[in-house]
Amino acid sequence: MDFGLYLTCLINVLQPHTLLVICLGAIGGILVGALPGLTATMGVALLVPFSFGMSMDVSIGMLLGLYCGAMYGGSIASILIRTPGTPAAAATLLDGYPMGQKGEASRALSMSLWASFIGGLIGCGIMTFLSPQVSVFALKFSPAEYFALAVFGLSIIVSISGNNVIKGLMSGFFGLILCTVGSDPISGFPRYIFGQMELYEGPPFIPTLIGLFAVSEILSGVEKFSIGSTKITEKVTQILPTPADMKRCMVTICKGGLIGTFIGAIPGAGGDIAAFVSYGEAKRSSKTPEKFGTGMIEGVAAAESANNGCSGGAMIPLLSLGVPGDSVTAILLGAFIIHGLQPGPLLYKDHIDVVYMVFASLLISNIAMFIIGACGVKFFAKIIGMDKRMLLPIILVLSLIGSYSMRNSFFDVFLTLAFGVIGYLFQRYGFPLPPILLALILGPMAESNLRRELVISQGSPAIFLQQPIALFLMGLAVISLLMAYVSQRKVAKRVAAAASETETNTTDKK
Amino acid sequence: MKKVNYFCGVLGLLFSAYIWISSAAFPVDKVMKIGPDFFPRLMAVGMIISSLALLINTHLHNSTAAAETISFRDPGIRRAIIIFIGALVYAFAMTYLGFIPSTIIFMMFMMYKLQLKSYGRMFIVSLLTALAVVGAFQGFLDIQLPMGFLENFF
Repeated sequence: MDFGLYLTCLINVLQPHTLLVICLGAIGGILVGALPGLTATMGVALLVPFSFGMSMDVSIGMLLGLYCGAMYGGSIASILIRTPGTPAAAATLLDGYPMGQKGEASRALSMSLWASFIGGLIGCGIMTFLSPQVSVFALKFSPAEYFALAVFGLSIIVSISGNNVIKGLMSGFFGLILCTVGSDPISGFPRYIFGQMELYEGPPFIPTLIGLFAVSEILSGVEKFSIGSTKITEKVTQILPTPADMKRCMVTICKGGLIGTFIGAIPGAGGDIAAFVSYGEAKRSSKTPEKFGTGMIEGVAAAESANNGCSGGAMIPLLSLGVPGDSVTAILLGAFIIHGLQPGPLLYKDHIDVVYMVFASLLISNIAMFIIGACGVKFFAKIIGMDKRMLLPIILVLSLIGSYSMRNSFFDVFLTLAFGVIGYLFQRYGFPLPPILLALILGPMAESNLRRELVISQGSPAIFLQQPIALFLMGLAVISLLMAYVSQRKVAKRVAAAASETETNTTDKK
Repeated sequence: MKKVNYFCGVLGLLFSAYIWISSAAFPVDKVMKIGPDFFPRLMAVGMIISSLALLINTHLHNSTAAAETISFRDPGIRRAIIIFIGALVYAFAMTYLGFIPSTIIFMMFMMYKLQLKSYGRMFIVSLLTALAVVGAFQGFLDIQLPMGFLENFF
């Protein structure tokens, strides 16, 4: 590591023009991330043509600024209106939205920003100092390892099912069956599309997500609406988390940043997977796991630190091997090629200054995202205090337009409304929605890699026990399931003991 | 909640049965051996097991929790249904009227159903929302929204 060259690149990135463009990218990223239906991938793709006429450092700085901003921005919509602005913010809504409903929106937003910043710094640090080593590990992932990672991710379904594990499993299987709609990943045969070509690529993820979470919540809000409950009173207004909250969540944030970085380094595994794995780990290691899902700040911290850690992690295989870590870095690969550079091992050899420039740009992008995000926390939190009679229609229109904007298709709008009804009925009768979300994220990866590996092994499932990393991940999945079961039994006993103590006290008082 | 659980368990079994039977029509992959029916059937088995588990668990444990039934006499339910139908009409109307007029009409309708009385405020909020969305999506992000008869003006 040439620290002198790194410092020179850092000073270049801190030039006023580059700094301004990074800040504009971060602002744009936060806005793109916050708007339902728009993803970080879309935002970066829209900005790449603008980078034609810019110099390399300015264009990469702008794109990285947007990337970091969008990964944080997704949490704003998750916390305020229960609609993840980006798929990576899906895990944030599990505890972020309940916090908003309790009048703690600014507390959730400030922790989301802080966790995103620290997680991003961890990812940036690992990317700067350990790129070659981490990329060697990431290259060892074959279909067996990808399937095992998906199984490990899916094992979190048990822990995010709340009180009813059986209904959670049913929701998960429903989501996995939903993933089979569309063309078969190996043979291309269309399954369950009922003649609708719009379903050929499967149920579109963002409209489905918007329907299940946002539209269902709007229908529920409309049903339960009463004149007396038109506004949520914000209890605390803060820009940064309190020292107590920072101390409480520091370990969770550090773990999340590491998890996000390593999962981001695996090509094809993005921020959404990392966020759920980190959330599951935070819940598993918590002393009060039963409170997750009701507004625990650690839940927000875990998810956000992981998805921003992923931004650094995803750059590792891109720079060192020329293999993008996720969809955003796939577009960044295009930006490099536009400027006449080919990411990969030769980039380190022939253009090490460009590599250090990327390291420096990501560091400054994280700082810019933090400062700009902090300026906006109080403003964003005010949205939750709006009159619901105006807020609900605005959210519904934004949700429907967000669904439409993905493919300029009204089919997606109607699909969103249909999933809105499904989500509403699921919630009403005790079936949790997060397992469906997790299944939609991990199902395609699970199916395609399971079948590929079974074809390689000629139908023998023993291959999953012969690959060390796959075996390790499967083992983690089993341990995760057992620990979730034991934890739920302990919680049930604790709740029963507390209930009988309350009953005894009440009887004694009489 | 017991009746609801029995109903959902049976529905889960029927859904799994449909998946299993319909996947039999998928072509057999003679080269790869594992065809497009493999994963749907595997998941259908998972759904069958969990549906049976729900039925057995419901039978063995007496749940005192009451399920929220859907009564069409409930004013809240009726309001939600009306707004849902309104959203469907809004989506249809957008193709012909365009985004701005249909959004203003739909938002005013929804605010009216949510008992907002001030028509002036309803109109201003709807108009500002529609224009802000057009500005953000069409102006900033270059994503075309249906404009209907206003296409010549934008």
